[in-house]
Amino acid sequence: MTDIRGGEDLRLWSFFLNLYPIDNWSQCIYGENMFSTQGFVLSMQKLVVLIVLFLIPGYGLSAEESPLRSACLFFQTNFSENIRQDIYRDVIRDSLVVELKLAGFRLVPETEWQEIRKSEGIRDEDLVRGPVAVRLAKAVGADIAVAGFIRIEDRKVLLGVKSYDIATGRLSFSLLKEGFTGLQVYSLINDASLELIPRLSVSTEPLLKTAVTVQEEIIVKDLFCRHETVELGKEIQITLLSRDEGAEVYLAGQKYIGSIENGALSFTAKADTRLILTARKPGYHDYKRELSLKDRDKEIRLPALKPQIHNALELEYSSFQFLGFGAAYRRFIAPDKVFLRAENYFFLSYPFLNPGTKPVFHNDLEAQIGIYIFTRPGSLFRLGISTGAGIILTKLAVPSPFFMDLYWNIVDVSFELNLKKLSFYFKEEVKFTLGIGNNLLGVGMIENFGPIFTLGVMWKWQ
Amino acid sequence: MAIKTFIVVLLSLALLSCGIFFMTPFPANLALTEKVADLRKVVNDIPGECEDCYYLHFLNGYLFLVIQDSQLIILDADLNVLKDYTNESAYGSLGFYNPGTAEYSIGFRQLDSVFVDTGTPSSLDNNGHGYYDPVVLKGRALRSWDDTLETVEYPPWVTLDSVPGTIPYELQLRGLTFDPLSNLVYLFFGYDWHDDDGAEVIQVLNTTISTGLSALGFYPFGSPIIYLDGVDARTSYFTRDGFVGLSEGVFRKFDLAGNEESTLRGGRIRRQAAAFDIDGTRFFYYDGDAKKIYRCSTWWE
Repeated sequence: MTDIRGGEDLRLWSFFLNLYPIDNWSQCIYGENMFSTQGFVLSMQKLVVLIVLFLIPGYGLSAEESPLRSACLFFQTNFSENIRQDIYRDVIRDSLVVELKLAGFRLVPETEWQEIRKSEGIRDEDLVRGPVAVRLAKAVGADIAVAGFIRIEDRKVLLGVKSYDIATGRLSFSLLKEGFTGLQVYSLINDASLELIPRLSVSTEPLLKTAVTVQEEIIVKDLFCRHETVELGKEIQITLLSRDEGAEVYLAGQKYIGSIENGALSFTAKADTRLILTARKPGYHDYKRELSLKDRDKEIRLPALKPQIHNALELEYSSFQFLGFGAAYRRFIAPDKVFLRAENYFFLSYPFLNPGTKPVFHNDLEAQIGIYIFTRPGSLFRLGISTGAGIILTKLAVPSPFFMDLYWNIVDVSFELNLKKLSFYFKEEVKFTLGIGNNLLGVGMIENFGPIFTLGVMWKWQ
Repeated sequence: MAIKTFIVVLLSLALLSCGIFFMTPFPANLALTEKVADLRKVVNDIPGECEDCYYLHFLNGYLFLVIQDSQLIILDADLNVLKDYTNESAYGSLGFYNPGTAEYSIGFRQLDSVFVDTGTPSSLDNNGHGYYDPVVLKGRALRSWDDTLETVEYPPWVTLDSVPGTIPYELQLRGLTFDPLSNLVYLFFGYDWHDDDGAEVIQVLNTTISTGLSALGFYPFGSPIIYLDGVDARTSYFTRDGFVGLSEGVFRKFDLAGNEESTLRGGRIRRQAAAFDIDGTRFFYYDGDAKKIYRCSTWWE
């Protein structure tokens, strides 16, 4: 068999096979018995039918092309008492399939929804009910459901068709028509199609583009909001000069305006305004300055940024520990602000001007935590306080055990001359011995008619 | 400019306080130590601050350390503990050895040659100061209260003199040393409320004391006063090389005229006691703060 319009068209042909036995039909096609009178008349009838059949599908060709939507066709119900008239149901169903396709719908294969129907126990006669049809069509992802039935009584055909929009679940179209059996059923089909298909196309046609565009425009306009700030005033040129190559400059500490390149950075600002500039560079303390701008260009030389100090080494000398010296290491846990300090001070008790004396060896180990107060890292003078604990080990020149004096450094107040790489300091310490273990100082303050004074020098680096 | 100012200030401080920079927080005697003993496990704790609670006597080659009149620790010259007695209010500043009876009089108690308490209490006031007169073979003690000076002799216990108005009210007898070679008794007087204001030393013939001090009239009993500045009379001593006075953190050596010759500075020791060999070759020192006792050489030639 030649495939005229796909496999579905074969169903139409099957109608005629039923009306006209296959052997006669094949004879017609392949020209057997063509030139017999009876055969010729039968062939002409068949030709007419063919022409009619072409006309009916041809209706779909004139349909306007539209996007493919999917449709479920539930046309299983025959309320006739004579089940042998199911052929009319099949014909009408096949015709509707063609119509739906020509209208631009993609038919959901019957096998898909039949599985679901069986699993849910839905009967064929239930498919004419809207909720059932919508539920089943939704399950297979269809956009519309077309459900219908026929009833044949005597020579009359009653055709009922309803269509549902799955998205909303609404009934979009319904019709009920009467016709006659035989070839006149095609008139019924045609009439029904003429009413059904246009309504389906309208109900499921995509929204007008203009409407979408309007909606989109509204949404876009709601989402975007543009603010324009217009600054008034005369613009002047500000030039910053600095040796800190690569230092970043910010306004009010937040708005980045540029970096120092080749020793300079230029930017524009409004005359008669005040700016707060912050120069920032990794490993250095920020430099902040407030500028009052006049009505002319300005050139400003920024001072060198102060490096952040993380380490320091000290040498010091204390009262009551004349014959000796101390060394300490500082590690800043907050640059130039908070530090941990470890110190070792070795000294002798040895009044060598007096005869008969022997040296006594002392070693003072101490750990401290300290902080600078009231002064900034770049200040020429700085004030620091610290506290800590330590132990003094003592060994006599004669056979004797080690003596250990544990102490608490209650407070250590230092006053510093803070230069770039060096600091000179003078500090006063208040130490309290705990009298624990084999000690020499007992419990009480370490003092000789006053607290301990210390002079020292500190080398600092990043 | 700022740097120069800072340096000037530092130098000024350094010049003003150069003495401070030569001190040490440790006892001044450490550098003189020949031997040290830890008495923490032996000496009883003294409640509160008590700066006049220790006495140290060096008698017949032995040390007698008195703690707050109630504890007596006896050590040999190598600082080994021989005896430890606790007897409420039994001991005090009085301490001397009687070679005739081979007895030690420590406060109210008498100890035999092996340091056993004889059970015979002394009738001498335990806050007196005593010595042994080898001429008359008697022990002798002196004490003062208010303006009265009292002398007692033993054996038997006889009060030689006890006359009010002998000494100024504010002046009290704080110690004495007898030199059998010169037969002189050196009496150390100090003021009650000025501990480190100095000591006044009166040297009196032993025979004068045995006769009766009151016969000499009022203090200073016809003798010149030797002033020892800046020392505590309670810790002032006589050696044949000169006088020695201790105060908190300072050991001073004076000649026999009272002129300061040398000084040893150290940490402030509030509770201390010392005993000097009369020849001036060594001394014993007790640090009450750390409970250490030392045998030290002297710091002068």
